[in-house]
Amino acid sequence: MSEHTPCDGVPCQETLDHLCDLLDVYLGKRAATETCKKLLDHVKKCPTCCAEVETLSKTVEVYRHIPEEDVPDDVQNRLMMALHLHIPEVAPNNDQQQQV
Amino acid sequence: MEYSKAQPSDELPDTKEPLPAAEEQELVKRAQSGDNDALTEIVLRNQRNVYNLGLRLGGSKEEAECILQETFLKVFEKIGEFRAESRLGTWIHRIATNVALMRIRSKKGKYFVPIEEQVSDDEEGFDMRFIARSDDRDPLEVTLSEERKVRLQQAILSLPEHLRTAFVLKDLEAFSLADISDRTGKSIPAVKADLHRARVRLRKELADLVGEGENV
Repeated sequence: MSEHTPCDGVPCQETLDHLCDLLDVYLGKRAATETCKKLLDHVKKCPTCCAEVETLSKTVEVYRHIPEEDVPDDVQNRLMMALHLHIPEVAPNNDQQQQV
Repeated sequence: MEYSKAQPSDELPDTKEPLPAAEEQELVKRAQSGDNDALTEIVLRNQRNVYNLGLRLGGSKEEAECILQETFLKVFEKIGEFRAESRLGTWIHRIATNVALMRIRSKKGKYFVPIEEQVSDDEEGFDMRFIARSDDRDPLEVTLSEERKVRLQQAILSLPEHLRTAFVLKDLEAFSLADISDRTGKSIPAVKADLHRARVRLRKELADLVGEGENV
């Protein structure tokens, strides 16, 4: 986003300044404020800003969907030892541990 | 709190299914009275979540294990104070976040890592092919292979600590900017700047993966 060209009277820098808020709107985390609405209109018309906002929001989405790792058995064993707890004889598999 | 050395239990809790609120309260009451089976069940139900938070914030398996142990030691110490004003998992998650951030602070002496701040993000290296296909391809497709999942996970871990913290807390853990600012002692604009740098670096990693996929 280093060579932005104003294309509809809205400086592209303003989009960059509010990128964090815009991504929250794109990611459904919050409703658009008046400032965001104006900038989102600009984003629709400006290919550079559109690419910036869309690719960053999709990047966040992709990384949010990386599956979590299971707790390795040796790590769980040491945890239980540290807590002075007993691991059940037929311990549930890691995939049985639900994500809260 | 005091609790006795655990003995093997005859029945294993089914930790796969989420506990209804009433049953969770019962579990907490048992844990608060020092019931080792209840404490074990709390660990089994929440360790995966805490371990992964530790992995992402701590940046290594070793650090994740330290965060895991410290968190549950603190959970056991404080379980008597838990008043069910939130779900147990949320409360444990909050403790784990605090433990992880405290460890980061204590290691660095301060939260900032100024040298890393000066490293500019290589936006020029961003693969525009990712943009070109952004409308007609589900970005999740690029993460399908196990190798790519590992690469993406590794990309998060390899971020400088302050960038990783901003990204993990905001984008993966859904903390507000104000909350992150409060927890890290950074201003909101500084958190935003870290967040942006983290996202740009991760985007580049993702674009590289998409680019590699083209050649396979």
